[in-house]
Amino acid sequence: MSITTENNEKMITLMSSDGEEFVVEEAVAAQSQTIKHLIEDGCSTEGSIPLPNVTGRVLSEVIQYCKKHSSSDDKEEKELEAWDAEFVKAADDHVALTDLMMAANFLDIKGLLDLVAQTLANMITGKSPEEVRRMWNIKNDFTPEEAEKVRKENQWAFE
Amino acid sequence: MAAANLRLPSEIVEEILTLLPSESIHRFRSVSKSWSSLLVSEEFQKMRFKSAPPELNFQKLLHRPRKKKHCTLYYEYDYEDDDYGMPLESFDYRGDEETPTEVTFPERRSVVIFKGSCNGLVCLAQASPVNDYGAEIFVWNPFTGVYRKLPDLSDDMMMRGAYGFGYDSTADDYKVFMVAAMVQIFSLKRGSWERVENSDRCLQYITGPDSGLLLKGALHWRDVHTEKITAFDLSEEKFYDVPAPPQQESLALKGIGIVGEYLFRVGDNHTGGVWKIRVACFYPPRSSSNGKIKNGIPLRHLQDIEEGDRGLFLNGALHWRKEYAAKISALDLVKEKFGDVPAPLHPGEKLLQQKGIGIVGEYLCMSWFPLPRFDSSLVWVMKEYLNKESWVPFIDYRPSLLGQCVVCYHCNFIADSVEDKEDEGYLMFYLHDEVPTTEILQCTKNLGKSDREEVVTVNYYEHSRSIPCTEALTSPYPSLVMNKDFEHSSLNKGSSLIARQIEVHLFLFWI
Repeated sequence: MSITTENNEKMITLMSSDGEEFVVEEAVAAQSQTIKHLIEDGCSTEGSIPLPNVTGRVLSEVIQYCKKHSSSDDKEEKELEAWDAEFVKAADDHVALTDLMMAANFLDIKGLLDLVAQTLANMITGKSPEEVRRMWNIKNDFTPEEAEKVRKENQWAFE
Repeated sequence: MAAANLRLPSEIVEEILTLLPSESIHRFRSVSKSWSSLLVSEEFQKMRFKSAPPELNFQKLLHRPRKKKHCTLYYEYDYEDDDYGMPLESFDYRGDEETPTEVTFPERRSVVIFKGSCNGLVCLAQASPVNDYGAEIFVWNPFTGVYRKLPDLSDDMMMRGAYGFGYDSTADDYKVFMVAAMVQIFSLKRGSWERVENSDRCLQYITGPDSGLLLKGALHWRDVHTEKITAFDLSEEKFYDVPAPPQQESLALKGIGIVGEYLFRVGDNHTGGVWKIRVACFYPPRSSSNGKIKNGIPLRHLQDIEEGDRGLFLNGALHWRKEYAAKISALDLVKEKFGDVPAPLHPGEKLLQQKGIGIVGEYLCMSWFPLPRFDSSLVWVMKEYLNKESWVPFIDYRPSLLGQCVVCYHCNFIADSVEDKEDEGYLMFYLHDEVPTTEILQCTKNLGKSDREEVVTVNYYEHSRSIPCTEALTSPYPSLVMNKDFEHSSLNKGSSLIARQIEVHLFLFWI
């Protein structure tokens, strides 16, 4: 069953992996290609759409983004850019950003994906391999000999 | 979520890493084995080319400096031993480098000449250790340091020979084109030289250092004998003529050039011993599907365009200098109309002579001698296109330069074929006497930030010594085809490591 608001806007309910429910306008939710396809396939009529990969905390951020981007038109591009900048800033650290990016990837929201990817890229550009490993808990699986070899090759870059 | 639980899906990693500058990518090869194999893979490199924002496709100018600062008016091929010790240099088009960066070509033993560049790979010739005029040909990625020496072809490879280098998108292959005793083509995938059939005619005019203009997978030359544009399709490995449009059939071919995705032709109408009109016509590139060429724009009459000058492209228009007029001729490519750009003249001033025009970033600039203000600036920049009031002096007049000639090199010559970019650059021009013996090149930084920027004097440049190159991770070892000269012994350590990694990929692929 879908709910309809006073101004005839179709509403749908999204359910996060930890059971939190979010009632949003369909136009907002449809910013996500994944949800859009689910709606088109008739999955939304049976109550809420479960999103098993996204926690409530992340989902609320995603919805915040989608709301902003569905209500703004092209004229407000500059303002939207500023809003985006604030939005990723509020996400605080790389852990939150990574969660957000994975959600954007799963929900297929291109604008959000690009935004967060760029933010993370800017974050790691100047970092050392060791710092990057720590950020994402990546295991250094090189043997010392291999590591030395790769390090030597790095010296070739324009430095 | 704690960082310890973070598991990054590979598509997310790729998404982020494609946005990084090459330097970071190079560094992050030591993060882990999976990152390393991702970052050297061709798939990743292609994806990055496609998706990276333009400012990340760093454009460099590779340069071979000289000790001696003399030159001839034309190409010069004296390989003095003097030059050998000079390191190769790279300049950053973004203009935030004060001095050039030294670039090491690992095999450098002698003088090198840049012969072409495409998608970050550079084709260069190095004087042969055994043959006075002979050359060794390399394809090199100056950013990663990976290079590949092409097999020798007895005495055919010459330092002054004509070479072309480009990308064949049909076969996803890079090819080196060489004119010697016969026309030969080397495919990086095939790994061997092959003779090009029916190339006798082209041997007559493809001489000297002309590498051909690379556009849409074909190299283009001006045939001075037949007055035709001849092209070589890198994919089909065949020559073909690019016909003149009906309006230009009777006009002598004076020059060809490339603007964005278009080839253009400058024709002359020579009647009664007087050069009367000079015309520029534009073509879309040859369509590979049917080989048809659309008509160029209608013929226009244009006076006083410098002979053979290709015109400078800015704001959808081409610009030519008019030597003795206080304006610059412009051809609007959208409206297909000629117009004038006013010169920076003050009331009461007359223009003595235009010395040259150029483009720096998004600005048109011009050097000229006005009367009676001999003490005015040599080079002016138009800060707002077509606004006469917006001309500002750029380079100050210096008494020592009086009587010398200034030529502005246009800077949108980033011809690397990845993308058409003419957004940034250095203003380069050289100053020399009537008899050019004291030639120096001045190089200024991008104009985007302020009205005036410091002029840096660097060594003299010429076509064969400097080459635009994109900073990229493209490898001269195509991974999909194993070829016979894939010998580790001829490689240095780094490239052999990459070569091995590519082999591993191949192995997995074939299993």
